[in-house]
Amino acid sequence: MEKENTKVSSRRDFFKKSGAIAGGLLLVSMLDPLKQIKALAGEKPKGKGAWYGIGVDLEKCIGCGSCAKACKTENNVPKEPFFFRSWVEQYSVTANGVVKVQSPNGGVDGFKQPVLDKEIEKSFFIPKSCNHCAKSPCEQVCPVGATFISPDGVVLVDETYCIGCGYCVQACPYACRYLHPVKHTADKCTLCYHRIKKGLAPACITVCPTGAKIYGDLNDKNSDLVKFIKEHNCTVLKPHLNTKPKFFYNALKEEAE
Amino acid sequence: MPNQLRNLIIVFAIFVGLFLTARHFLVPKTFGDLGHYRADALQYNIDHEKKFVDTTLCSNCHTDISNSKYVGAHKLINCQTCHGAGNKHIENPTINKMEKSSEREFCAKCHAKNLARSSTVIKQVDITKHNIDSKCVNCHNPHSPEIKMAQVASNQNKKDEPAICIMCHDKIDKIKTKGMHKSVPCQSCHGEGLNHIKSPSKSNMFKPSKREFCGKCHGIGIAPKSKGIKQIDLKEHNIENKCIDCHIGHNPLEFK
Ligand code: HEC
Ligand code: HEC
Ligand code: HEC
Ligand code: HEC
Ligand code: HEC
Ligand code: HEC
Ligand code: HEC
Ligand code: HEC
Repeated sequence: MEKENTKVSSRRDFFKKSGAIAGGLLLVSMLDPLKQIKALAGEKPKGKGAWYGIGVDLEKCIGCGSCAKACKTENNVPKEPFFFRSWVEQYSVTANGVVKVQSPNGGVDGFKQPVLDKEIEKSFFIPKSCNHCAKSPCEQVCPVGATFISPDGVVLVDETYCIGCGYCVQACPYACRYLHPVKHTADKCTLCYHRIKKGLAPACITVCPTGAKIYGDLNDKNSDLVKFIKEHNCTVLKPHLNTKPKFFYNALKEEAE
Repeated sequence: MPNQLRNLIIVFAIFVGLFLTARHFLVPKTFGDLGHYRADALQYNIDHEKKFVDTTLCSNCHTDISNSKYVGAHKLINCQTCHGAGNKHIENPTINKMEKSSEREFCAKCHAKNLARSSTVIKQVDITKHNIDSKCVNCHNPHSPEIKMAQVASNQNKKDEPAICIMCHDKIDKIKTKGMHKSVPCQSCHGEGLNHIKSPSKSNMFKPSKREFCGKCHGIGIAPKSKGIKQIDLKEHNIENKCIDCHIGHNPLEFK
């Protein structure tokens, strides 16, 4: 419950500042969890059709790194340990509140069994990738229109048109982009656009052994993702930046927000 | 019209003309059709080749494995989670091998004890303690990890038959069936292993090494003279060494 409160008050701050939406809406949004999410993530601006998002149940994530590994294979991401479209981080919090984050090779080889550390009070994994923000800063800074949001809400790069200036890499608050060392263009998660448009799940979701990760259409009331968001108390990363990310986490601990 | 204005208009017209031509060549086709980007870029992204294939394809050829898999605890795990992407393999399975690892580290990626892992989601073992002398796959069938143990447990009444040993020691059985000892049950040499089959690392089996042991069946004057088992004189046949310094126990006519 405590977490709920901090979330609400930070959002209220934002509302006050922008003065865009009245407090009444906030009350309504608290009663309907889906509305709450829509306020966080932004609704599809116009028209019907799909509006894709991602969900992860952190309680089910075992940090095996299968997603990170499969993503590299599927999308020809360079093997070097500093290029990732999808990766896993392990957060460890000591009793006196120090937060350690580690991600050896993005989790591709899994995480070592930790040596017993009595200091660690809690620890959790977070799989990360592009948040496919509805108001993505990367899209906004692109000087040539090579980064764009597809009509179904997926943030994509036009590789043939990108000039590799790297503004978007700087602009992304989630560190989800890198400059491809060979192609010299910006590269990032496409939500496996080539798979989802053919009705296949993204590679990371295909290989997840516990079904922790899902994707789906936020405009479809019956989609797995909408059900997941309804049934869990989901949050997004860095909501205060107002980028309207569409990557929903269940059981996200405050240390990671 | 004053000359200056006319010149200005001409210059302006040329300028606009140049701008339009330049724009025509510089702005790519379909730019702006859907937004501030090339609409064709959508198709470009869709055309990317896929690597992870539909796993029902695997069961077309690997019928036995997919069947056993669907009863075990790994039933929800995609084959390609453990074996890598299958796009090349399904085209030519003998040339394009799948990934395959029987190392402990492979299973540890998911099963090693870790504070961040929920024990209700995944059972974990301390890999620095859990049966450290052996590979996981010796006791757990990777495709049905609890089955091997369960099979053994439910077959304890067959503890005198080699079948129960073979559940875990299939590799030894493959060696044994090639040699002269193929008809000799495991238990005749190693004893029955009721405790061993329940907890293999905690309870070791007898491992014969003495000359007298082999002599029980092969020693002239010791072994009963029947069944056509070849006999040697323990006091003459290579007395400086143990039998297993030369003969391989599981295939005795192969030599070390
Ligand atoms: C067209 C039939 C066919 C399909 C489809 C197929 N395989 Fe195979 N697979 C084979 C054959 C044949 C072999 C034996 C190759 C050899 O040893 O030369 C094999 C071997 C293997 C091996 C063992 C490799 C080794 O090094 O021992 C694995 C693992 C495997 N397949 C996994 C898969 C998976 C996973 C899929 C689904 C993505 C799949 N196979 C689809 C025919 C197939
Ligand atoms: C949890 C991981 C895991 C999953 C899931 C998995 N395998 Fe395996 N598989 C293994 C391991 C480990 C081995 C190596 C066993 C060994 O060396 O004894 C193996 C071996 C094989 C082999 C080689 C033959 C053999 O028995 O050693 C084939 C073929 C195979 N797997 C096919 C499949 C197919 C098809 C699927 C999906 C239905 C699948 N595997 C799912 C881990 C897995
Ligand atoms: C990609 C992750 C992954 C890999 C790799 C993996 N497993 Fe599993 N394993 C699971 C999941 C998920 C379950 C089901 C969880 C559950 O029901 O407890 C499971 C279940 C099991 C169980 C049953 C536990 C029980 O009693 O319920 C055993 C035993 C096991 N695995 C052993 C192995 C072995 C041995 C290997 C290596 C060959 C291996 N696993 C590789 C994910 C994995
Ligand atoms: C010598 C045989 C043997 C080897 C080798 C072995 N195990 Fe086990 N394992 C067992 C037996 C027996 C059990 C069930 C009894 C128990 O709970 O200890 C078991 C249980 C398990 C369980 C379920 C634990 C639970 O809490 O119910 C997991 C998971 C597991 N093993 C994984 C592994 C992994 C991973 C490896 C390799 C690093 C491995 N095992 C190696 C014999 C073995
Ligand atoms: C004729 C007697 C004999 C029979 C039958 C026999 N073994 Fe053995 N086994 C031995 C001897 C002797 C050794 C010791 C070899 C050494 O130390 O070099 C041994 C060693 C072993 C070992 C230790 C690992 C190794 O390879 O050295 C295992 C495991 C084993 N046997 C399992 C079996 C199983 C399972 C069977 C039945 C399928 C079996 N044995 C049948 C004589 C036998
Ligand atoms: C549940 C699986 C399992 C079964 C069933 C099993 N073993 Fe083993 N056995 C093992 C493992 C694993 C080892 C390796 C020891 C370790 O990991 O500590 C082993 C080791 C041995 C050894 C070598 C001991 C040493 O000191 O090196 C012998 C001999 C042996 N087994 C014989 C047998 C015989 C005979 C049977 C049938 C009665 C049998 N085993 C049944 C799993 C099994
Ligand atoms: C339980 C009885 C038994 C024990 C113990 C035993 N053997 Fe045998 N041995 C046999 C039988 C049965 C044959 C096969 C006879 C046949 O089929 O012709 C055989 C065959 C052989 C042969 C092949 C002989 C030939 O026909 O050319 C050799 C060599 C041999 N054993 C060596 C050993 C050694 C060394 C040991 C000790 C590690 C040993 N045996 C222990 C029963 C035993
Ligand atoms: C120094 C190595 C060595 C040692 C030690 C040794 N053997 Fe042999 N044994 C051999 C060789 C070599 C042969 C093969 C003779 C042949 O094929 O003509 C043989 C043959 C045999 C035969 C088959 C005899 C036949 O008539 O074909 C038996 C049975 C046998 N050994 C049992 C034993 C036993 C039992 C012991 C231990 C008491 C033992 N051996 C110790 C080297 C050894």
